[in-house]
Amino acid sequence: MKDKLLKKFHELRKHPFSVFILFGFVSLLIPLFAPVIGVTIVDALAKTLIYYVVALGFSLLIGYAGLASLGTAAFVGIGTFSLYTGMQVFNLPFIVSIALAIAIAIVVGSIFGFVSLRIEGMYLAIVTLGLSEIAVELFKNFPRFTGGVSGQTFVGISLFGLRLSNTAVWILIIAFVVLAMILTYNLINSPTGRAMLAIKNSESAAQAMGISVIKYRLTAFVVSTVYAVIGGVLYMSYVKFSIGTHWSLAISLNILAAVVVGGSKSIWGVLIGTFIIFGLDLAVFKSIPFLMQSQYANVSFIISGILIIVVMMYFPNGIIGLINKLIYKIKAKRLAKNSKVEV
Amino acid sequence: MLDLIISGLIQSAPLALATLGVVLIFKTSFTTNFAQGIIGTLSAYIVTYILMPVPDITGNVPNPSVGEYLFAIIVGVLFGFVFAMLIDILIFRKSKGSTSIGKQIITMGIVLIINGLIPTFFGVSDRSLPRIGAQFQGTFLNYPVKVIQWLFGLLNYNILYHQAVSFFISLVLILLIVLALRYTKWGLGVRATASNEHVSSMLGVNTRVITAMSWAIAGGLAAVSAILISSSRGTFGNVTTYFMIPTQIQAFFAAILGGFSTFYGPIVGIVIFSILNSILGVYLNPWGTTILYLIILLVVLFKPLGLFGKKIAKKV
Repeated sequence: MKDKLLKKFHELRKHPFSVFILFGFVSLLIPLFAPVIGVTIVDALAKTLIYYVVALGFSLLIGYAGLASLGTAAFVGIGTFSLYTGMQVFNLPFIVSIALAIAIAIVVGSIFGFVSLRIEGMYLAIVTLGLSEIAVELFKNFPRFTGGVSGQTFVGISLFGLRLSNTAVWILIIAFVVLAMILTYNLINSPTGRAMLAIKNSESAAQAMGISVIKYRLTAFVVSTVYAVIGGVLYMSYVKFSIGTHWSLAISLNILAAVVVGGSKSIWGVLIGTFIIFGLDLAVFKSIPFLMQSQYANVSFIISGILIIVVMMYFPNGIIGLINKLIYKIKAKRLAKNSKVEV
Repeated sequence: MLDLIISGLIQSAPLALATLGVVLIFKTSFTTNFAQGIIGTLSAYIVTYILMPVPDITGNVPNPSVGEYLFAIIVGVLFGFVFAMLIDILIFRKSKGSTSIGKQIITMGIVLIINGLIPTFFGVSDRSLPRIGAQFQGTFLNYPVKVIQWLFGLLNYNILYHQAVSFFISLVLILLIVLALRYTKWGLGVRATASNEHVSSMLGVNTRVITAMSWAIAGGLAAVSAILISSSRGTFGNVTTYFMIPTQIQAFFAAILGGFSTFYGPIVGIVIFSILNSILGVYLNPWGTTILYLIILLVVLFKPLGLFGKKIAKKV
């Protein structure tokens, strides 16, 4: 009996999802430490994890489909305002509002993605840059849904008739983070993910093998927009305020930085990247008095930009690539020591 | 209606410079340079800094003499020129192996860096450039401007002085670059690099110098277009971190409309764009530009290579 249980436990431990679920359980405990680490840090962590969901979607786009987009922030913005519109203007339940947001993302993403990807992968960034400009204009001119230039305040979500507290929203965020990790893992290791990688490595060769380039690129883009919209929904649930001008180019570029710097092909790499780009800025830089002066508010941008360029030029696998190399070296050394073979 | 078309044509002049810069880099570095606008913004900031180191928060626009203004503009344009050249030498020369999307991402990194640098160096209060006009009335620049005013007068259009200056400068620069592309060694090199970088470098074209010069010229063009666009607004706070983003998007969309594969396509594209923008801006305010972007996407749906694009076959 005990053996059987132990065997089952080992099987579970080996299951690829168990790490993600363990990560989720550990993160659930973080609010308990709020009195020790401070509420602002917990707040920063929550925002970072929200951006992590967005970045995970973006990592599919960059790391697997080999495309860049500048419309990420626009889709996060669409997510925030769809949640507000769904729940507070039309009084729909939370789940339906999320479905509404996802539907908008799929429609808008498919239209803009199809037009640009039909020409060449490079055009996606240009067209989505235009899209982000259009979105800012839309946010400004539909005050009923977006609050116009003064922004929109959200009363908070209620599930089954209960208004969720901040801790409950934290649990919701973690649930979505774990779900996003599992979905991404599945997608990466499915035929779709392999087809995307093949296209990234050689577009023409993949096409010759019978892979429809536009189909998989469009899939990657639409999936990334859905992640972005979910990020927006979580942002609105947690922060309870969203303003159109916030969702500008800078956020899109920072998400790009997070994915590229951390390692665009790795789920954990993106987590590290998000913590470096957003976590550091929200939790550390914003609390250093010297950097709190308004003219230094964008110092983190300089660091992100330099990191993007250095990583793109010298470390194409990002920080996670460096870490993996280090682990490999240590393991090789230990192996050499154990077997007493000179290396 | 004719008035709207002419005013669109006048607005297209500085935009055409930005577009030309984008196309030059596309031809030699095989990527779209997202940092084009922000390099121009940085140059415009330097011009405002020379004219007025501490911006006047009460809303006064600096009022320089001709000499001061010309000096500041020349320093700004030279800065754009050198800065863009350095970007190529320090970054792009070393990342030849990256894909065009990898290079795009690098240019986005440059956007982030400059985005952070601007408030750090120049502070957060708005800066402004005065209109180019009144100062130049007594100088040699007055004559060509008078000619342009007379020409537009023939069409019964009353062109403002600063618009005429901006139109004249843009026209001269575009002509210079088109001629240089056609008749100089650099132009030949650019065209050779554009058709095949590897082969042309084997045949003795110094692609490094050609590419660096193209970046430098694109940087200079970015600076000129940023200075012209901000100064033509003439109001307080016309230079901000993000003021070139719409220009950048318009340049890209015009290049898509005209097709990236030729030099003249994007220029024609931006003229069409500006004229339509000026017409739609009146009838569909405030959605003119948005609808124009959508129209361009629709056109591209049927003509993926743009209006003047040529199909280029690729090997595996």
